[in-house]
Amino acid sequence: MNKSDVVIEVRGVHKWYGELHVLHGLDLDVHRGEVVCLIGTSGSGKSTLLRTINHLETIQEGRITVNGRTVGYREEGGKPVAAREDVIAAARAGIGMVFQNFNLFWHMTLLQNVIEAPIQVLGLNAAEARDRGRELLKRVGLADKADVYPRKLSGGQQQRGAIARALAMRPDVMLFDEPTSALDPETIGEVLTVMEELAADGMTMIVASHEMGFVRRAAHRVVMMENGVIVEDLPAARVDESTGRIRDFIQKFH
Amino acid sequence: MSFDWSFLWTHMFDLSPHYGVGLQRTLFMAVISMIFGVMLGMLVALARLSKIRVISGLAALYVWLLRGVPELVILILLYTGLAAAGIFRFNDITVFGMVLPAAMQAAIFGFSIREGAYMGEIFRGGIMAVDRGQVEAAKALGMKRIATLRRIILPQAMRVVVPPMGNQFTIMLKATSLASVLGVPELLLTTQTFAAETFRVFELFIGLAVNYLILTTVWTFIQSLIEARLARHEADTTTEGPLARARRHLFGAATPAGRRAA
Repeated sequence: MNKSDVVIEVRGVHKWYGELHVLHGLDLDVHRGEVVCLIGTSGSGKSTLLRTINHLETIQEGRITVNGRTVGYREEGGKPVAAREDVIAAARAGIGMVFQNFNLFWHMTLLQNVIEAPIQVLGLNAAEARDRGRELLKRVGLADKADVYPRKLSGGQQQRGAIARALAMRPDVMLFDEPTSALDPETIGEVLTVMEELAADGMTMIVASHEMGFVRRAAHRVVMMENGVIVEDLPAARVDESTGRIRDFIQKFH
Repeated sequence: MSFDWSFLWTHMFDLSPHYGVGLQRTLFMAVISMIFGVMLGMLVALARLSKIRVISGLAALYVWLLRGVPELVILILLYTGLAAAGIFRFNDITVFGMVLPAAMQAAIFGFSIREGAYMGEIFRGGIMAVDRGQVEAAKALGMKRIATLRRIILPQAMRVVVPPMGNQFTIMLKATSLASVLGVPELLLTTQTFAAETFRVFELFIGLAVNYLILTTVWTFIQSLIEARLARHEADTTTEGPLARARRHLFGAATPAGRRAA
């Protein structure tokens, strides 16, 4: 893959929560169509890294670009400065995010969840949004649940709905923040299947997850984080050859 | 003088020659004041949640003042006090071809600003009860702050806001009787005037009490229907029907038999 294929570029990113130094000058390139799996113990900074990419968290130093454009800030004298709200919102619209706790809007049906942002943000008309929404729900296996409220769905169904909602914005990249950690074991598989199909369709994805099955079946790269830095970065096909931190991690948790 | 039942029955729903107009005025003041109070409360809540210290401080001061002073004192200060000091005098105005008397304006103004303080706290609680994850999901989808507030936060806050808001309206229905002190001939004052003519104070005020009870009870049923409608996305809507809900509003939650014995 050549340089022009880089979709997400993270360079020397530092993040502090008050005194706490969470990201220590982190670098990461993700190429178009690449599926990168982020692993590491809780507190290693995986979640924070994902959340800085779509500017749910601010950064104090370094730069992050998606498709060559900064998200949520512009650069002044080499330092990131917060951008205007509409600029941030427009940039976020092209970056899909799936949360550990699904965060479906519970006062809306599944279909309403999926069509809300396309209508509000992209300006689609309701009929068009509904057609696309139903198609996406079919794609994640929830065609028959379009008019059901989230509280009446299982965790796995909610998470598949949340993936459909993110896809409705036609994002260039998808970020998954521990998408199966809050799920019952029996519903994890159905979510991973949807994610694997997405990966096979060529979506650029960063997935914070310890699901080694997903890593083996769908990931291209495994990136191990520890204390806010990347300590190992391997092609997924070669994780079993790891002699470093990834091997330790897999032995400890699987 | 003995209690005159036939007088009570005759006048139960016709407390005085001006009963109908009095009832209209009571309902008009309650509804209009509630509408203004809710709008004001929304602004007060947003101001209190503002990151700008001066704005949230001013809102807190407003709530403290209007919740801490008796309503009757607020009304008299506004209507009689301001006029006596020569600062401001309410005058009759015509709105949509209808004359809105000075005293009624002052009463509506007073009820509205008091309601704004209470509703401000209720809205603030409702907004703070919305899960942060909901806001993050909206942000991640590229929604702006105003759209997030209007489409996500407020509709979800309503679930927490509506029950106490309904109670506030019950309080408002009864509180309109204070306008009688300013000389607004609503339900209470028309009854009082009629009582002065007939000396049947007890009978007429029993009748008046029944009238207020009917108003608040009817409202309780309407409120139950609204709450049931808002709860349609909850997983357990079937457990409490509108009737059970109304009973809970009127008489409080039922005590489970087992717990009573314990």
